[in-house]
Order: sequence, then structure tokens, then C-alpha cells
Amino acid sequence: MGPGRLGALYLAALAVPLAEGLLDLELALGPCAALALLPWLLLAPAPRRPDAAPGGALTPALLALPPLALGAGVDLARGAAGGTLALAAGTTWLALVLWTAAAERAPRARPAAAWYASVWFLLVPFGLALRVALSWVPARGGAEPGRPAWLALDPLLFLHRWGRAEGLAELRPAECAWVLLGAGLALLAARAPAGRGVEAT
Amino acid sequence: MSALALLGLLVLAGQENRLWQLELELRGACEAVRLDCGPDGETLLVGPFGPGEDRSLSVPVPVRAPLGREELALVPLPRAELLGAGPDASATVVAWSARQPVDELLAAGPRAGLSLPPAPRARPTAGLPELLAALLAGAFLLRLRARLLPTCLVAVASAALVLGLARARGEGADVVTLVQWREGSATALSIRRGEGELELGGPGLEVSPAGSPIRIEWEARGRGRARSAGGSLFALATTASPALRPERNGAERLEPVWTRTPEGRWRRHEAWELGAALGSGRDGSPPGWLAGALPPGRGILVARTSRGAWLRCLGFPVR
Repeated sequence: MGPGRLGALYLAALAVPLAEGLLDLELALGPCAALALLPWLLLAPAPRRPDAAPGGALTPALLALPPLALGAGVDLARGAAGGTLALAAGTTWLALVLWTAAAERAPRARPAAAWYASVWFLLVPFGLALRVALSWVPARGGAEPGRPAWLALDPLLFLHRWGRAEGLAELRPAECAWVLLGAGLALLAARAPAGRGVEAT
Repeated sequence: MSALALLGLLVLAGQENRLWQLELELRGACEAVRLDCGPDGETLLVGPFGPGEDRSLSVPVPVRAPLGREELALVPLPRAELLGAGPDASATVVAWSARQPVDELLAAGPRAGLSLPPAPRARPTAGLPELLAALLAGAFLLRLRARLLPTCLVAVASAALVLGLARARGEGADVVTLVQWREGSATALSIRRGEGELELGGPGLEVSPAGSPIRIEWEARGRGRARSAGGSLFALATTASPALRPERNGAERLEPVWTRTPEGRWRRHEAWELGAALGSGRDGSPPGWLAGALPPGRGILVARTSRGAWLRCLGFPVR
């Protein structure tokens, strides 16, 4: 990612604390820390073109740190539980590191790029679509709709779960494990060995 | 008679004490005792209590007593439930305590005109220093991004800085203390307000919205906290009125200070030093939550102490 896009992501990650602090708006119903991570998680894991210039695998994650810390500080000032916030934000940040590393590594070899693109498509956009589709299925007998932990394989769904109002209180540790598993799968896909006759660049 | 007058005022104003004390007999080992007050909330008496335990305890519970102190005996006693209990453990709610903590407030006389601070408060937001620090850090990080080690150092250091600055925005925002009194009265009413959670202290407890469920966690050594999801809690206590006269501050250093003349004109005075006379000041109003709902035609003093508590005197002789 070029400096222009990184700068835009950085400003987007700061947008809510900036608007709330300077314009006296009330925007965040849930944790600001989740909103600070959202722009990075939306774009950093996206598959790169084969001819994309390599960027540092850690750069987006390091740039995400100050906005994340600002959001977490505001959340703590508003009374968020420190331990749960640290678990949720730390896990998401770690998932961001792994997904970015995978996205940076994948275009170096054709099968890895294809594998990574498939895993990204299944776990990120398809995971979101699946969640929306499941939410439309009527619950049997008027029961509350379920909350399968494995849907946290999608980092955006995981972020959405703890980023809602009262989301931190409902977060389960198993969901933290699932989001890291998803990031691990992406990293494995990005390390797929080159096949016969495929040229690694 | 004054107790009856206060009772009437409390009912009229919708102010309702939610701290009533009962006598509990506890025998045997258990981790905790839950006193179920139904929709009013509960008290969790936190242990652990040992196997040889045989004791009588006075425990506060957050029941509603719509008719007040005089008719407390008509309110059903909460149900005791043992948690993590041994085989021979038992807990029995004996009766309401003969002497209730709120008696101290009732004895202090009517509190007409001494209102609770309003519940809403501003949400803490990021301030200019941490926002600028984050923006500057972003500019540095974008410039340094090709070099891993400096990028790591700047990212971690700036994150720690903005975290500390932003977190400090919440300090003191949760609990507000207001000491109110009428000129000439020796006793003042001290009100501590907490959002959602408040350490218990003092003989009275109220909640806004009125009737919200309250959960009390109480330790046998006589300390505890009250929690009410989404509600504002008010701990009430009596204290000696600060010795403040326009010609001499006999209490402590105050800054800032506002006064209102009986005609309704507010003036702001800067620091009012201990032992000094109150200065003349200039036009200026105190924060809205302290200036609202005050009786007309009387002098008012509003001030802040160095500990962050607010003082408000009704009938202050403003010159």
C-alpha cells in the first residue's frame, strides 16, 4: 500500500475520536477501539495484484497502533472493562498482523496467490454474506437466533461482535481463538508451495 | 414532626431511599449469601465464611419502601440464598434493623431545595493533546515506514502516550460530590453521584431513574458497592456546613467561585483563599447543572474545592 492510501486509512481510523472530540458529536455506541481497527481490517488483508509493489507486512499494523490506543483510552475513560478490551483489541490487532503478512506474501507465487484469494474470499466477504443470510432465517419456536463462534473466522465479523454496544460484555474467548485460526489459515494459504511448472517470482 | 415533613417532601419530590438494613443470621460455611429483593435488585454478601461461622450481621438491601421509614415493617423481607454452601450452612433473614442508617438523614431536618445533581453527564471524549499526538505520530510513521525499528519505536511510544492521555479523560468523571446547605444551618447534605456504580458510604442511597434495580455487593467488614445498569446512583450523607462568609473563608481554598444575588445576577470570582474575603468578581455563570432549579429571590454560592468537590449554599449573603 502506498503512502496515500496508508494516510487515508490512518485518518479514517481516527475519524470518530476526531469528530467526537472536536465537533462534540456522539458517534460511537460501542468501543472506539473497534472503529479504529475497522479501516485497516477492511483493506489490509485484501489480495494484492501480482505486480503490486511489496509493502512492509507490519506497516499497516504499526500504523494502526496509535489510533487503536486512542480509541482504547477513550473506551477506558468511558468505563469499558480493561481486561476484556485488551483481549478483544489485542486479538484483533494480532489477526490484522497475520492477515497483512499473508496478503503481502501471497502474490510472490501463483498458487499461493490463488489459494490466498480463495481463503480471503471464503472467510471475509463470503463470511459476511453468510452471516447476513443466517440472520434472515426465522428462528424456530421464537428462540433467539444463535451466535456460532466459528463465524468469528471472519475478522470483520469478529470486530463487529465486540464493536457493538454491549459487544465487549458478550464476547466469548472461543471467538478470539476462531479469529486467530482464520488468520492462521490465511497465512498457510499464502505459504502454499509452488507447483511443477509454476514460476515463483 | 420534622421527619414526617421530610417524608412528605421525599414522596412529593420522587426521592426514594434505597438503602435499608436488615438483620441476618448466618451459620456454617458458604462462599456468599444472596438476598433477593425481586424486581428491586439484590444484595450479595461476599464471603467466604468458614465452617464454624455463627454470626449476626446487619446487611443493606436495595428494596423499595414507597411509604418510607415509618412503614418499612410492611415491606416483605428479602429471601436469603446460600451460594457455595457447606452441608450444615444456613442463612436466616430475621427482621428489619430497629435503627436504620437513613435515620441520620431524617434527624438532620428537611432538605427542601437541596436537589440531587442531574443525572446526565458528558461522555469523555479525546482531547486536543492526544488528538494532535496521534496525528503527529501518523505523519512520522508514514515517513519512517521503510525502517522497521524506528517505526516500531514511534508506534509503541505514541500509542502509550495517547492511551494514557485519553484514559485520563475519565478520571473523576464518574463520581461527582456536591455539598449543599442552607445559610445558617450547621448541617450540610453531601451527595456523591456515580454513573452505574458507586462505593457505598453514608446513610442514604437513591437512584435515577427512580425504581431502577440496584445490585449491592457487601463485605462482612462493612464496605460495599452499589451498581445499577444505566442508572445514576446517589449516596447521601450529612456533614458539617463549611464556614463560609463573604468577609472570611473559614473552610478551605476554593476555585472557581460563583455567587448569585437575590435579583438573579451571577458573578464569577477567581480563587477564594483560606482566611480571605470574597473578591468582587465579574459577570459569569456556573455550570448549568449547578445553576438550574434554584429558588428565586435568594443569594447563592457555588464553588469548587481543590479536591474536585462542589459546594452550593442557598441563602448565601451576597454583597
